[in-house]
Amino acid sequence: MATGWSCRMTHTKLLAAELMSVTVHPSSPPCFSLPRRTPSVISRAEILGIVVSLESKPNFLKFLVDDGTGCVPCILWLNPLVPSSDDDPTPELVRCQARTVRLGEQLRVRGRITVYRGELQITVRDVLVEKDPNMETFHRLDCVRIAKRSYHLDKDAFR
Amino acid sequence: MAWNYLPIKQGEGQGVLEIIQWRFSSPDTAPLCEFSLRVELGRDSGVKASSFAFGVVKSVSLAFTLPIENGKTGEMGDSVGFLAELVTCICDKCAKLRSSNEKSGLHQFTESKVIYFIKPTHKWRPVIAKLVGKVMYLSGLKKRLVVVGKESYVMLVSTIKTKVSLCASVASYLPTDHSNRGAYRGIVTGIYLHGAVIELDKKVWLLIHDTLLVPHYSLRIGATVSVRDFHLVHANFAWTKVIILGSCVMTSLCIDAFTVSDTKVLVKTEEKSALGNFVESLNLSAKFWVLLSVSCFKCKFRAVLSDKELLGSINSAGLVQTYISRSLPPDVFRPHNSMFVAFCNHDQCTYSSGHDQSKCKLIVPLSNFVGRCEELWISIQSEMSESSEIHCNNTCDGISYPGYRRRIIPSDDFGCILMGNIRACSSSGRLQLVDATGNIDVAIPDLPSDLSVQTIYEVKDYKVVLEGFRIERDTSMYDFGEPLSCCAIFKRQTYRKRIHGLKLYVQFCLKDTVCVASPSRVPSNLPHSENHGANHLLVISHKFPLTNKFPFNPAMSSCSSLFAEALLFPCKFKRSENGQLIQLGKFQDALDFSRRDHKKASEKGPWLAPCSLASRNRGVSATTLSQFNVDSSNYLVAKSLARILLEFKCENFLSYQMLRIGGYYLLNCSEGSSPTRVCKCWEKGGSFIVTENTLQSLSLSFSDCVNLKDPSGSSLDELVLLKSLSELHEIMDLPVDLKSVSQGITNFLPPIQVLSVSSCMQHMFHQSRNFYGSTDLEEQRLAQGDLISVCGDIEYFHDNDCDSVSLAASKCLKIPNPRGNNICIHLADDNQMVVIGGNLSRKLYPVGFGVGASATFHRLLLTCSSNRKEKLLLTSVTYIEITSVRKVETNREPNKQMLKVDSLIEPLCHLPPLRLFSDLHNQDSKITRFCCRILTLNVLVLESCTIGSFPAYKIPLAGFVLDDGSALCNCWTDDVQASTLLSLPGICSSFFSSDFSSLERAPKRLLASGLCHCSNDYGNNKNTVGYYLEHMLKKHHKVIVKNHGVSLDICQDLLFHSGSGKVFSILEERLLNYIILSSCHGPTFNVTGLVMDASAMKKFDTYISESAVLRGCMQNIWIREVARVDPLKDAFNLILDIKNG
Repeated sequence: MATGWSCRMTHTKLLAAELMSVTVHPSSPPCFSLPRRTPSVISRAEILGIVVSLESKPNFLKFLVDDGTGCVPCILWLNPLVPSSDDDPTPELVRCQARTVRLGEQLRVRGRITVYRGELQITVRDVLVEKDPNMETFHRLDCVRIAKRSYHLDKDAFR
Repeated sequence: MAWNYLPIKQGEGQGVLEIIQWRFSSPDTAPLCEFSLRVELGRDSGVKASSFAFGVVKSVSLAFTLPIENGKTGEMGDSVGFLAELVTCICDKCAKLRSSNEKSGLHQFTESKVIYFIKPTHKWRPVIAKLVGKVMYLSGLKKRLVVVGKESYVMLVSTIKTKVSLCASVASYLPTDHSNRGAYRGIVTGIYLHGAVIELDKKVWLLIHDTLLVPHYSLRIGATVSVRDFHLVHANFAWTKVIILGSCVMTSLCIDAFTVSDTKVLVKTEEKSALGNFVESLNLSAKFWVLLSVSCFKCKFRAVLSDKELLGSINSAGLVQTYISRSLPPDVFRPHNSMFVAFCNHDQCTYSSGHDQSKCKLIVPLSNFVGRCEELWISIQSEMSESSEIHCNNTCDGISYPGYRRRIIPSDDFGCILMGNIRACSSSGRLQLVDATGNIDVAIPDLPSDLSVQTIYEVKDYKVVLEGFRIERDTSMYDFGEPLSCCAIFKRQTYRKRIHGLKLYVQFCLKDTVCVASPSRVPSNLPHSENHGANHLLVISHKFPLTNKFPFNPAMSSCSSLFAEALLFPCKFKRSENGQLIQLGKFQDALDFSRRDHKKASEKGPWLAPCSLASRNRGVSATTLSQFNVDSSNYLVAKSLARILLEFKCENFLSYQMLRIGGYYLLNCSEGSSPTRVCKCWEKGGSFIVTENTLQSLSLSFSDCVNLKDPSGSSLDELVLLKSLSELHEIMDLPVDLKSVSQGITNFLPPIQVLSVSSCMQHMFHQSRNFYGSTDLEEQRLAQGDLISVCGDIEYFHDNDCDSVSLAASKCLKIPNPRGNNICIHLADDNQMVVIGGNLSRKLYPVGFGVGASATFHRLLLTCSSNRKEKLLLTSVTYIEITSVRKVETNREPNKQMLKVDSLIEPLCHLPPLRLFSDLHNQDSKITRFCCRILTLNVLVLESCTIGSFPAYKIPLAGFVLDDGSALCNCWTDDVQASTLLSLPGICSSFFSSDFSSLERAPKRLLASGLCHCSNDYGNNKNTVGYYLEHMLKKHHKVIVKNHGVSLDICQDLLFHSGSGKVFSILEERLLNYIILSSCHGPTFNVTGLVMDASAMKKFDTYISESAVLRGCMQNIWIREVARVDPLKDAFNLILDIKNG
């Protein structure tokens, strides 16, 4: 069984509908739990879907990822979270990732689950363009597998 | 009396009468103590003959002729007669008897006497022979001293007054016979070699003493015979055990029941040959073996040698006798005595004194040998089936294929000697050992260039390889009928190959063979035979495989040719009259000409390079001075060499087999010894038709010490089929030591680069980023890509008719053999495995091709399929070289190569199902598979490689934190797996081409820092991470990166350690940062690994940072295999996984 630390740091593979239905516990930072799962507390997620909306700002990129079960707002900060030196390639790498986010693109997104103005969103750690359309099916099945195995969910829930 | 008329087979209307029943005319009811029969053998003519003999007839010799000299008169003449041995009674009563009427009562027959029935009484031999074992009284005998040679015998000799009386009623007490004489009654089941060997009851063999003395007309198949007084020998030959009844002068052979199944008799007319006399001089077991060998020789070489050449004549020995007398030990010969002496000294004779019969091996007809191998193969299959082994079928692409087996059997297990001519098959091009009965594929690691197809070789020390897929059919349906039995050999029963799935070949070294018969003419391809012609030096760059252009027309196969590509050096050599090799013209001049450069050669002038030349064939060592004008700054390059094509017609396929890729040869120039540089041979694109004498092998060595180690120490687990070129130095026609000019010559060497599987993988990764080749084979007319050479071990191969890429490739490449099978070959080394697809006819598989073979594939096509998967394809020019094979058991444990399937080529479909990191605590299996991404890096160790290797770095250790969506896990790995996880091959070509503004400047800054003087293997693009990584590692030798950050979101607390102690520049740190960050944002991988325990983790202690320890008690896994996820196939597996719960 994964430890609590490991669980918090794990990017749980989720479908949009599951992610958007997590329970938010008012703490600082806020905690999120998935209904009917053990352990239920999560802090990071990995989703896969099509970019259906895109809003580009100087400091961030906001986009919506639709995986067929729902839409998840994502925000990719273009300025570094912590100050970095000139030769740190992280900002360039982030900008490079931002350029891959285009409307209609199939993306795999990993990041922290956050709340902004009462709305759930993912603060993006990284994005990866998935060219293969089969990847969506694979991701869905992987979500089911993890839910079924890792969280010991009632089997009937997925039939 | 009753008789049969037997026509003579060869005679016209002639025949013999066979008396099938006769008896004495006296009534059986004669009174007791009376002689029941009294016969006068001759007429009374007043000759004094007072001796008599009374006893039991023990044995009767054959009738024979003896030159005789009368001791009194000295007259010479021939005496015809026979000898009979009587065991007489020595009691006082008998000694006093002179009258036959008193011979009654009890007698003790103990004293042996020999009676010589001389002409005219010799005609009574059948009568006396019929009385063997009965009591007989002989009167009218004379006592004579017979002198034969230096020995004299006192014996009773018959006269014309001799009378024979038979007494049936006299009781006799014969002492127990302690000699090894025996009696046997059986049915004749076979008569071979003109009646010299008779098979009884299909289990014992009767050797007839001297068939020319008395033809046994009645001895025909089906007759029941009784044999008495023979010598029993249990012969344990190397390949079988035989019971031999050896007849001698005393043996009596009676026909108990005549046969009517075979009513013709064979009359022998030939005179006794030298071989016949030779055979008679041997002891019984050796004689039987020789007769078998005679049968084998006649069977094997009847097509190429006449009977006279094989068997000899009256005065001269033939091939068989020459060979056998050389092979047999001296103790098998026994002194040849006349019939007379042999009979008299019978008890002292050494007929059956045995020698070591296990040294007698069967000179097996090849078709029988093939039959025996097939029989063995079936028994191997049966044994494995019965032993309830787990049949480990191989799986590829989710489809299971039958297991493969290979057995290597030493020659001692067969007890056979192989003999025949060596030739190359005109239809398959393979080397074969051939005799008149059949052929067998051979692999000769030390194949010389002067092999003659007419020479008959004897191969005693060899290894037989049996290999093939598991037979699914019932093996009991095969009946081979003991191909190596004596009966099959005498009958000259030939076998044809019946099991098509069995690949059978023999490996032996030519140095271990013996030349049995050579052609009369000396092979003219010896180096010294061409004294006046000029020679070109060439190196073989490629051999083209045989492509059967007319597969549906066997008659056209003889029209096919084989081709080899060679690079021709711009110089000529000539052998002088004293055997020295002289270079014609100057090297530099030739080079200048080839470059169309008319400038004068270097003013430094030619310097003399000593070339020591030795001709193996003459054993002559000569030294000559060859003028190599090589300027140190002006090396010759491979571009200067002319590319020519050598064509081998089917009669010279043997020369083709002798060629080795990368080997040096001298080619006879058709334009004589003129030093002119304008030569047709030199014209690029030229072709030669190679004849038997055109090529001589040349061994160039560049060091003082030539590696002459003997690699033939093949074990039964591994067998060398092809020696490396350096090991062949000793058998080359012309070993040449060119150490003084090695630098110049090595610059000559064409780049024949053979990649290992791991290197091939790197190359494929690299090429996949530089997208090239055919995008869709279905639409392209011609598949495009690079031709590469790869070596490795064949892990498995199978037909692959469903492989669309291979089908398309064969279609596009117009592979000329439409009957070839689509084949899928799994080639592996210690780390990786690649899959080679393509079209290859089963008939054209090289010898040894199979699972467990070490193979080099020359000129494979590296191309891309439509889904951007790299693919290695066999083409019609792909040449497969098998260097060694190893034993393969069906139920072998999957070795580590089998686990290291590269999923970029084929997905991991036969490995354990996907697991989750969160399940690691619960599962039993140590080997697990996960689908995960890199979260962060723990540690990375980079080291520089030797110059010239690709890639220029190696990764002894890399530690990552992986995330599979359920939990995190510490994973450790090295080498290619680490490289794949870091996506290093990928960013080799793409990094600087991206539009990172600051990084685009990096090359200039690096160039300014002076790190740019190095050739590289990253193509022409120097703006690659690999290029700069190489420079960085050249400076630091070893780089260790540790992640001291606690947060897993960012990698900002990386610490860099230099192996050389030098300080990292900002750009170098940036480069390392970039590599690690890129990997942390990388794709999803399929990872297979082993769960590590605490003890295994101890060796990583020095590399684990404190922060990594702080990150908690995650599971640790050693990664053995990494591949990109194939979403379609893995999704399919997931469905099954979820469904099965």
